[in-house]
Amino acid sequence: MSLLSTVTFYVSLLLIGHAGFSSFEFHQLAKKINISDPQLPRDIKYESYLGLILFIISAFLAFTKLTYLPLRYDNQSTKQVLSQGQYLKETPFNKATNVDNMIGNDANGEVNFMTSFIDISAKRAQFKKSLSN
Amino acid sequence: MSNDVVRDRFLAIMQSKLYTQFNAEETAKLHGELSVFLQYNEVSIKETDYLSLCEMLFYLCVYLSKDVDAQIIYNSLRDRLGENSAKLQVMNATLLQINENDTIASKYLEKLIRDSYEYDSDSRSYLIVAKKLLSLKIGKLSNENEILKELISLVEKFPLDAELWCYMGEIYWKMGQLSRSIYCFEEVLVIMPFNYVIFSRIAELYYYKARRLDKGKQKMEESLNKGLKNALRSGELSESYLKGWSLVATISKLLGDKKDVLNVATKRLVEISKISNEKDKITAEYILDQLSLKK
Repeated sequence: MSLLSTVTFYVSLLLIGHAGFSSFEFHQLAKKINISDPQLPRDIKYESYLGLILFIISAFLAFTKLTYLPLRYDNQSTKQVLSQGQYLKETPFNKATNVDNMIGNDANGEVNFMTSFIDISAKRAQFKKSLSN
Repeated sequence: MSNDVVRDRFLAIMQSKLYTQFNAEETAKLHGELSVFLQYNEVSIKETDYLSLCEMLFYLCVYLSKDVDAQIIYNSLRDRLGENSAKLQVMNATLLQINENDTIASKYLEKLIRDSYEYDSDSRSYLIVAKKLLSLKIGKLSNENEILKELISLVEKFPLDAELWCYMGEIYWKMGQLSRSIYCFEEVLVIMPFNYVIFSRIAELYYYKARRLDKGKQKMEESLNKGLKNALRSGELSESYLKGWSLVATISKLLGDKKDVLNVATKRLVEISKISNEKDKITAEYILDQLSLKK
């Protein structure tokens, strides 16, 4: 939630709350002076409408752009946050895979990397060697 | 940076099993980051996410020879889930493999298959255990023909497993039998028709076949055309897949009479060199330079 949306959200809550309180007060008053069919004053109506509109605007302002981290960090840019400047994910397959390509992901990696057939002993020996250097 | 972005990164690495492709430094770094993340977020993330990240941490520990840590993770998962899950049995076999030796691990898995999986209707678990057993056997075999023999007998039992076909394709590729390798990868596509990585792998193999094996212009062009079709399908499925478009550009340039296709590929490569990640940007620019295509 950005600062603007938070501010708008609280202002809208204040307006709706105030409109509700005013309406309650008006009806109490109407009872006391015996008005049979009380009409809510316009300012209270407008205040509640404005509160609702601001509430909706704050909800829209709260949307943030989708961000991703690259799966493999290269040496120059550690933890550089990537974004396509979009609020929602793409639905067509050929465009949805763009995110995978950007962050270096392969959705079918479980098959394509043939992970069941990794030679664990060789990998351990190789890692030990390269980390001790 | 929000916690969700970090969690999504870990989960993406777990689901795609990309950690198996990391080098030693990357693995050590990922292990450090993931241990800290799990320590502070055990409660705040979903249980399924937590358990799958624990599985990844287990294998990272195994790769980095942190055997005690791996044993602790296995024990905590076993206490929580019981011993009857195929994934845990594979983890146990991995521990036996590193603490004892391959023979003891193989015997453990063979006993499991003999006693229960051979008669159970749980073919998915059987496959997971059988693949681990096969990988242990492969470690001892030196000859590719022997590996293929073992592999084919398992494929006959499980003809719908894409990973087995994929591995068989790689073995045939190592042996230089490109037509057979292509056949295996095409079988993968029958099982996973939207796997654009495999489409471009087939295109690559057709390209090698045309350059190395095919004699005569007609045969060569036939292979290149088949390769181009596969590369184009890969590009159709993924708009910014660098390997697919690079192959489209390379093959269409070689064929000479595919100007339109070459233009589309150049356009895509230029796009990738602008919007993708750093590594892909540099690679795309390099390919454009190598093929002397105008930007």
